[in-house]
Amino acid sequence: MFKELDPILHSQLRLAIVSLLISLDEAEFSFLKEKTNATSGNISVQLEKLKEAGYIDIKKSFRNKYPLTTCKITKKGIQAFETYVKDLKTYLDPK
Amino acid sequence: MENTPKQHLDLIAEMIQTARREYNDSSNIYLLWGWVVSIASILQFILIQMHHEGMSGIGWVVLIPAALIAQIVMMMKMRKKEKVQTHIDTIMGYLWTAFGVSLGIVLFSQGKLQENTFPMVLMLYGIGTFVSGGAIQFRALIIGGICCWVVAIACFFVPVQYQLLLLALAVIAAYIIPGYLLKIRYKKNV
Repeated sequence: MFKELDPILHSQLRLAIVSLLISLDEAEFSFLKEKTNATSGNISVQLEKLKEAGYIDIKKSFRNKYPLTTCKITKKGIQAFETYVKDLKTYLDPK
Repeated sequence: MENTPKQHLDLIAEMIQTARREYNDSSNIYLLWGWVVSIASILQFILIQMHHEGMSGIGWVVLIPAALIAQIVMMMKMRKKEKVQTHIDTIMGYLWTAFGVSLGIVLFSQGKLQENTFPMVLMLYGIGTFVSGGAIQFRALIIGGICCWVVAIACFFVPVQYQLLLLALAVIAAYIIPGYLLKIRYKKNV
C-alpha cells in the first residue's frame, strides 16, 4: 500500500538539505549551498520552508563582521525524515 | 518532470555520503602536544642525569603554558575554517574535555600519587587516543592508544626518571606518528 509522501520533504532541494543535516550536528549556509549546487536565493527560500515546518533551526550570527547562518535539524525533522524514507521504500517494494 | 522514488533514495544516499566525508583536520593539535610532552620529558630526563634536579621541570613550566596558548589560537583558527560540525566533532569535544579534567585531577594529586603519576597520565592518554581513533576510524591512533596502555603498565615497574623516557616514547607512538599520518590523510581528502 502506497503511503502519502510528506510534501515538505518531497522536493529535491529540501530533501538534499535535510539529508545533509541528518548526518551533521550543524552546517553553515555556504556548505549547504556548495554541496547542493543551488543558488543562494533558492536555498534561502527552501530553508525558510523547512524552518516553518519545524524541521530545522536556523541560527544567525556574525563571524569577522560578516553574517553567518547556521542550520541544524530538529527532532521533528529527524522524525519526518525517517518517516519519509520508510514511506518512500513502500513505492519500491509495495506489499 | 517528477523524480522517481529510486532517484529520491539515491539523492538521500549521496548527500549522506557527502556529509560523512566532511571532517576537520585536528592533526596539528596531536603534533603540538606530542612534541611538547616528548621534548619536556626528555629534557627533564637529561637534566636529572646531569644532577640538575632542581630545575629539571623547566621544560614543563615553559612549554605547557605556551602549548595551551598555541592550542587556543589553533582552535580559534580551525573554528573559522569549519563550515560544519559533525556528530564526531561533538563527541570528540566531550571526550577531550573529560580527558583534560581527568588529567587536571591526576596532576593536582601528584603529591599523593607520587611515582604512579605518569602511569595514570598514560592511561588517560590511552583512553583519549584509542577512543578518538575509533571515532574517526584511524588505525594509527587506535594503535597509539594501545601503546600508551602498554607503556603505562611498564611505568609501574621502573623508576620515575626512566618513566620520563617511556612517556616520550608513548607520545611519539600515540601523538606524533598518528599526527603526521592524519595530516597526510587529510591532505589526500581535501
